[in-house]
Amino acid sequence: MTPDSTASPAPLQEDPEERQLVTRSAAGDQDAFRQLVLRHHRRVVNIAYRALGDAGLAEDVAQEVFIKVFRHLPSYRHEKPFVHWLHRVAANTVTDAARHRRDVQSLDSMEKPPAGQAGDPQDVAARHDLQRSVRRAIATLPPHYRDTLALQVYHDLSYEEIARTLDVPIGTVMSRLNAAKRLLRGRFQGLADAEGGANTP
Amino acid sequence: MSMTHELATELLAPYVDGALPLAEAAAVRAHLTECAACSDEVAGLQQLNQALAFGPAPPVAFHAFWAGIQKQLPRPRAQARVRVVRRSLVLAAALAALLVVTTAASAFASDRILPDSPIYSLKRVGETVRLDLTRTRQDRVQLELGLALERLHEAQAMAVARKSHLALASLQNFQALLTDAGPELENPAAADRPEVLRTISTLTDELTQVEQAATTQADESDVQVETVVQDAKAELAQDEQDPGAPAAGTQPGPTPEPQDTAAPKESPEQSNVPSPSGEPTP
Ligand SMILES: [Zn+2]
Repeated sequence: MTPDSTASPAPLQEDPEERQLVTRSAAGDQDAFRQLVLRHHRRVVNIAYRALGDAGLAEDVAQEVFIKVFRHLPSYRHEKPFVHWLHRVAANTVTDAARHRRDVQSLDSMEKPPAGQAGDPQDVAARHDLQRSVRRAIATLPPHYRDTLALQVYHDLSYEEIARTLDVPIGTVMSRLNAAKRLLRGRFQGLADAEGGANTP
Repeated sequence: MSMTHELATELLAPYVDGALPLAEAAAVRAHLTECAACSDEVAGLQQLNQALAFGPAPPVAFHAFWAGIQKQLPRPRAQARVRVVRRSLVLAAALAALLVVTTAASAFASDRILPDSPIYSLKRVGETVRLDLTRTRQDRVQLELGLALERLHEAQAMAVARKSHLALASLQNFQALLTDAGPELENPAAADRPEVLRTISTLTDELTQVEQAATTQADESDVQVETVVQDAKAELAQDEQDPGAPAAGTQPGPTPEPQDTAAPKESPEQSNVPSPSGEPTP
């Protein structure tokens, strides 16, 4: 009996330790899950923060992401590495949170510029305003464009990682990002002109 | 080398992001030297990218972050265990029908006494004795789980060796052991012990692998195989939505008919060795 190397093509190698943590978490082991959260919380908080612009809200949403992850882990099938799945759960949760936030109330005033950031306070504030408009503009894109662009700018993923996370060919990622950015640029032309290059650091 | 304006406009964002293959990037670069519109667009995209560069979040206090998560996690342990047991039962039923448990043969230690060995039933007698001698119910659960795992390995090895009767017999015993262990797993005193946890983790991991192997094999001709696996998964999904359901010990609903195998028979090798009195044969 020789092992059949062609039988099951392991798609992508996942860190065995990570796999173990995922398996143990799925069986309800909270210590394992804590380690999993420890590994990935920065990633998820960053995603939520970039997408929502408020540090406190970002932490809440990131916690919600992990609670969902824990609840759905027993049905996660290891078809793709855990992080790709995590990015999808995060994307859905963050998109919902952003939509909810816009629907329920205009909380723009709550969006505080991050404290303790270096630089001229006026520059920081201007940059903050600009990012808020960018987020709003992204939210108005058609869903495919919006979600793909979100994976690039909020999740900080490469083209290849986006392709794997969404299960689409890399060419699709290229054309979506190209179209998304051209649309966005169109919408921003006026704004950038009006602000007179406030976005150059 | 040169590129049409139309094609170039499709590639400008990936070009700016440095995501194009070298040859294509060079072609775009060449086009830019002769096309003002595209050069403008590139400048605009670079500017846009600056606006899109969101920084990372301020530091997070992990302890508080985790505490906030933990207090919202479901009281998980007993339920998760019941789920594992139930999932195991459903899968065992599906696999019994399929006998497609052909993961790489090298995965199985060669010194394991397998069901086609002449002394296999001695091994089973030994297990029964160990189960009988186990003093507490908790120890018994741990032993049952360990034995279930052993049965799963055997079933895989037998399936690889194309001895489907023996594989099926092992799977049925696997199922019986888990059914037996089920009720006790709902009792935290027994189930929260680290060695039980470890065994359950291993079991879950094994099952995931078996399941993957089963799904991979189910691709081509055998539509029925896929149906069975899908059914099992659907049932599990339902189970997860209804965690209060008394899962352990109950037989999974649609137990699939074995495909090409009759009921398991004792192998000739096994019948050479005297059967222990009172021991129900698998
Ligand atoms: Zn051109």
